[in-house]
Amino acid sequence: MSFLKREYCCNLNRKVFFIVSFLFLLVFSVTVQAEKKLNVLTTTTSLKSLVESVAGDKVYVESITKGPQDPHFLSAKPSYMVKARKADLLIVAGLDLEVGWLPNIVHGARNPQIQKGQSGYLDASQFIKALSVPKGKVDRFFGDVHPFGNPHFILDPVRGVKVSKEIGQRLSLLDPENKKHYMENQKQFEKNIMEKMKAWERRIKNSGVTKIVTYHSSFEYFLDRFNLNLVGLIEEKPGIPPSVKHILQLIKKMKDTQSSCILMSSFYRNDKIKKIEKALPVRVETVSIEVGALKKAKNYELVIEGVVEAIENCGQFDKDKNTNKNKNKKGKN
Amino acid sequence: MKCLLLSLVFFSASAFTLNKDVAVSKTNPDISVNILLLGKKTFSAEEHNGEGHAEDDHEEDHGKESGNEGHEEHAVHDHAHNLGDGVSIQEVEFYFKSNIDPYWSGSVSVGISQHEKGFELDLEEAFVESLFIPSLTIKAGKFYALLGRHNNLHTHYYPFIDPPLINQTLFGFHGWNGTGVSLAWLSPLPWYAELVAQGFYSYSGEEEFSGILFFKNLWDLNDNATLELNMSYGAEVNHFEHLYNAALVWKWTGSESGRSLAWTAEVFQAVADSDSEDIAGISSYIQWQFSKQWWLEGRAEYLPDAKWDDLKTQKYSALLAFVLTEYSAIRLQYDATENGHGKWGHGVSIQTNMSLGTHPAHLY
Repeated sequence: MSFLKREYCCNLNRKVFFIVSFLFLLVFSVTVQAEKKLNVLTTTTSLKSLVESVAGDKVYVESITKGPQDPHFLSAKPSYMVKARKADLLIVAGLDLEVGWLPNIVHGARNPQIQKGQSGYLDASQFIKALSVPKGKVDRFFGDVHPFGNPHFILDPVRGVKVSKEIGQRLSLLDPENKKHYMENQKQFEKNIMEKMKAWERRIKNSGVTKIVTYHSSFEYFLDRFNLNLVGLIEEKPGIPPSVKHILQLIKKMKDTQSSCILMSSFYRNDKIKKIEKALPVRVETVSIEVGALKKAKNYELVIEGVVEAIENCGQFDKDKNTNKNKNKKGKN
Repeated sequence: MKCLLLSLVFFSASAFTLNKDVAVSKTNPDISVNILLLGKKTFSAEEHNGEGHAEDDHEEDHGKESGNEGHEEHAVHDHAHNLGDGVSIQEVEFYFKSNIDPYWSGSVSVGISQHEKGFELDLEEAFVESLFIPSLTIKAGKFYALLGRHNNLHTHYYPFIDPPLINQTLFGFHGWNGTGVSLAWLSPLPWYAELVAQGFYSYSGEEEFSGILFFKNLWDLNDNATLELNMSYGAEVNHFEHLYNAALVWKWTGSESGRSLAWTAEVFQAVADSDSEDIAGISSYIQWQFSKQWWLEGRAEYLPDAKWDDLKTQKYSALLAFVLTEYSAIRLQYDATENGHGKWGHGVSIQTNMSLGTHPAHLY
């Protein structure tokens, strides 16, 4: 404890002064070079991937959330504020997806340009039609309901394309010199995804899978787009882990509807799922719902591809199950 | 006071009923209410919580150096919280927060807490902050001073049920706030380096000015871990001529949500004016989130005598928290306190920490 003796402490006054003046010198000697490229900051990796598709190497883009992190549950690390301070454009998913941390980051960044309503703030959710928007008052008895609707719209490729269009327009506004580049890239991206759409639709149809169980309502937009039915959710209510009773009800429901395909976002892990696996022949597919959540999902297109593949795997599982059954029947005969 | 309380209840009630009217509720500030219910049991006549400790110290000091009047001032205890065993409302906190226009945002928080004779209403914070200046936030109004890491936390954010002993001794149970202006500058350095200057003015018979310099650094060690180093200096704060604080935080957050580990250490040295004693103290704690809903925490604290020759008081705390959702938590805390005479006191507290209203944006 001797190093903290009072005699030592009283020199602190002079020391504090010294440290502070040193810092001022350091700071003012750092010349901030004017960058020509736009600095774009996104909250999620999927939005980052959309920016990359539209802008190529004409902008610097970084995502606050890293691949394996769930954008629901990030904490407002001050280092994100440092990034947001330098940003020319902040792109957020919106619908309260980032409500637990983004307000603190925007506030701490002290960057007037990325405040709500400024040209440097783009809320992607404003350009899409949200699903599951609660009517009337939101009651948390029903869990952590998002008051403005389900924020996981990026898994719908059509909405994804719409967002890329808005990104292209905003980038053109902030950086008119490269407008042509952004617009052409966006058109190319749109064409590519829409072509893929046809293949994805065909593959899902061929898989024979129509009924899906998911953990959280992360796949609502995807299921809606590809005409798949949601049988039930494993979590009891948004943000509330399942009770045994809920799992038993779900098992019954899955039996009744003959559904066997469970889609899990890699962000969620729950032991209760084993209960379902024991009770029923089910295929559990863990997929990326954001770019980089699993290694395979290197860009936006591959995220969607991953979900489609998972459904194909479910379809294969059903087919194998049926052939086994038939074999068994034949064997008995 | 009752009048204020009534009007507040009425105001918040009307704000909630107006919620049905969409046009109005859309421009309402974000409102949230925190309810902290506390149950406490101590197991020794000599048990000392923070307030008790400080008083005791001073009695002893008086004995040693009689006629030293200055002590009383340091023990600015919040007697409202000197409740004994039993169940009480630790605090009900009301928050109102909103952007005012493109240039300012505003925030108000009001706390109601229980003491022996009833309830006490306190305007904890009421300030406006600038949104339009690059790299700088100007804040004006009443707010908690940036003295170390713990002082500016609201009660429901406390890592343990009670504040560290040294904070209780220096600033009372709620921390030190005042009316003034704050300039917070985020430097262009590549890591988070923030320099804050705060000036407070108060008038109670005579004019008093307090000044604070706060320097915060935070480095990303990797994607999951950060190191934070804070230094603060206060002049003429709470009758202390000089206040020095250094705080160190190492924090790790798992890539998978629901796992984290943080270690915090904070040192205070308060230098009093010539006619009273200095005060110093260390608190150090570990917070471990071992599953999505469970936290285990441990804290060790020392208050040495002013010359750091001798440990006067030590306290050890352990806390287990069950966090059901982001809106509710139940916390159980055990304390063992040695009051400097070799006598140990023990205490158990249980707290429910509930939050109504808008989703909170968490501090890091």
